[in-house]
Amino acid sequence: MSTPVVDRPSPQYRPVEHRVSAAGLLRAEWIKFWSVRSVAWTMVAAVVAIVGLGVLLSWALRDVLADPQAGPAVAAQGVDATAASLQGAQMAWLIVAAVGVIVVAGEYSTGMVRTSFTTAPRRLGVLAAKAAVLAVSVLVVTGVSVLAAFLLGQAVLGERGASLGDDGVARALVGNVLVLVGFALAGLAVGALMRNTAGAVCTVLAAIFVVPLLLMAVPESWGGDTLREYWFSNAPTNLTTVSEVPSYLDAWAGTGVFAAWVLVLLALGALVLKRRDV
Amino acid sequence: MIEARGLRKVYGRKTAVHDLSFTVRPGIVTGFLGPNGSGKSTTMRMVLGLDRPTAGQVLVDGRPFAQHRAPLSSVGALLDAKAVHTGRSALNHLRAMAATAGIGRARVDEVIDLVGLREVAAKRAGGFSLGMGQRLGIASALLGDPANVMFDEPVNGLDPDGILWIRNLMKSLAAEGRSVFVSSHLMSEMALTADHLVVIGRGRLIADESVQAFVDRVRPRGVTVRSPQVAQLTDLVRDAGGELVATGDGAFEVRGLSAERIGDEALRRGVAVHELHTVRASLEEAFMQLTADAVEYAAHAGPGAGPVLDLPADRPAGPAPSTREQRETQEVSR
Repeated sequence: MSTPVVDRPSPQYRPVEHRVSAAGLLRAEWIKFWSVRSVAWTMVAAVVAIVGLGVLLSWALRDVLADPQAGPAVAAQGVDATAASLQGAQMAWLIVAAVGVIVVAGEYSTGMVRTSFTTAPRRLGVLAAKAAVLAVSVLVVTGVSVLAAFLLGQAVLGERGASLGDDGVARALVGNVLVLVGFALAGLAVGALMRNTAGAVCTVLAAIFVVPLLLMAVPESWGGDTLREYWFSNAPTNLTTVSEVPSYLDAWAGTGVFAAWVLVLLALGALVLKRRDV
Repeated sequence: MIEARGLRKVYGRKTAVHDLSFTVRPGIVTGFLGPNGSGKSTTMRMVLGLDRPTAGQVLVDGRPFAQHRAPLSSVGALLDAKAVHTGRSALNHLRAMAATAGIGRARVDEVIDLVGLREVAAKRAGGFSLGMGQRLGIASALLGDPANVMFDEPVNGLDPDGILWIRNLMKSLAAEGRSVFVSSHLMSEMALTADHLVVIGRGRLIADESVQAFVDRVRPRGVTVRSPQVAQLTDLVRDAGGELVATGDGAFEVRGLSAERIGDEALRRGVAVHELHTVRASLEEAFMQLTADAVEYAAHAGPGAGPVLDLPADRPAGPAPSTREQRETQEVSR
């Protein structure tokens, strides 16, 4: 049995203060992001989808055009060589959104979030740093991938291919990358809102691929066209294409609407992350 | 220094912590004792701001934890083995934590060596045993060289060497002037490490006092007497109003009489006494007596049913009431 020493005066320990800083939070999230295999592999999957599908579909288009029977008819309709090589980017929307989900929901499912919020108890800095690291990582990785997909795809298409200097091509490339960053951030926000990886990924999947199909069935008299134009994953359509698709918002309006979606989701995610017990 | 004032936490219809107030002082190890489900972990999470108190507040060195600019230097916490991403290596886990607070790589290596995780530092934490997970949690807690240390059930999963190591670690941390707050449901563990106890049962404060004072509050269990003059001893005890029970090895346990009384009486009657000592209540027994009503799983006990604490100070000094719980306790401790 130990002796009671409650009343013994003891000098309180004075530690060296290691303060939390924005730079520290960013460095920490960078280490966290790249040190989990599932995240790194999902990023690799995004590269494969963007470059692989881009090259594959460019190849398919070249074969169709080379076909003596079908070729001339297809060519007559107008060939969007850029779109063919960037098809994979659309598939990668879901993949980068999943990365965003994993980055935050993975912390909740493993309990890591308690360490994160004990290390930085104001919490919002953690989310902001996660968003910044995610945005930069997705920007760089998909930026290189989209450029590679375009260049390889056009090389496959040869004389039918587009070039970087063509009207609208550069904007479409940049647009695709920005949209990918937007989807990744939206995934992060949904992950923070739902805190469950599977649920959040399914929600994002539905938002990107299922809801647009359902909206096609909404009659015009119910505002179907407006709903479709302004829906989250439809809004940035014309930001990603060289030739404008008339049934969607134009590139600038689309960018604004899409950015608003992402920012509102992030704000809701931040609110929930700040307030809920972990 | 950690000060809880009127801390309360309600989850839906269940109140996990009731108006809890206590102080964890620097320089000593404060044990946080309570049965499983009594609200210890909830209280610790509230200290760190992970759970928001329904009422009341808890201050760390005078401020809510979330307002500290250097949280890792303020409180180092081992919450449970699951505050780590299973897919990340121990080294990267600590590197990320250190980065947040601008702590250098040298300190990361230092705590890895301190807890003995060097060989597995590059392995994923998901593959760690319970004991290795605890060591990683302790390394995380010590990373910022904090003024306050909070360990939730730290000996869980540790081998005997590890248990001894953490006991000494907690004592040396306290000796350096840090506040050490350690929870356990193991009374024996607290007896070996704690100087001061905060005891809770069903979310309510039961005791906040030194370990010694806590044990002293509980009646002695009885007096062991050994005498060759069995008949005379039996008469003596009966005449004095006590109760005598043979313990089977030639000794007797006397209840209701103090050792002094038995000794004096034996001298007066000329009864030879070969052994005479008071059987002290162990920390276990003290705890059982004080929390019997507060144990979450006690039969018939609904939330908020009656007073939780039956203070022993109020009890008459006569023959000990022989409740079922006490008999069980005694049998276990024999």
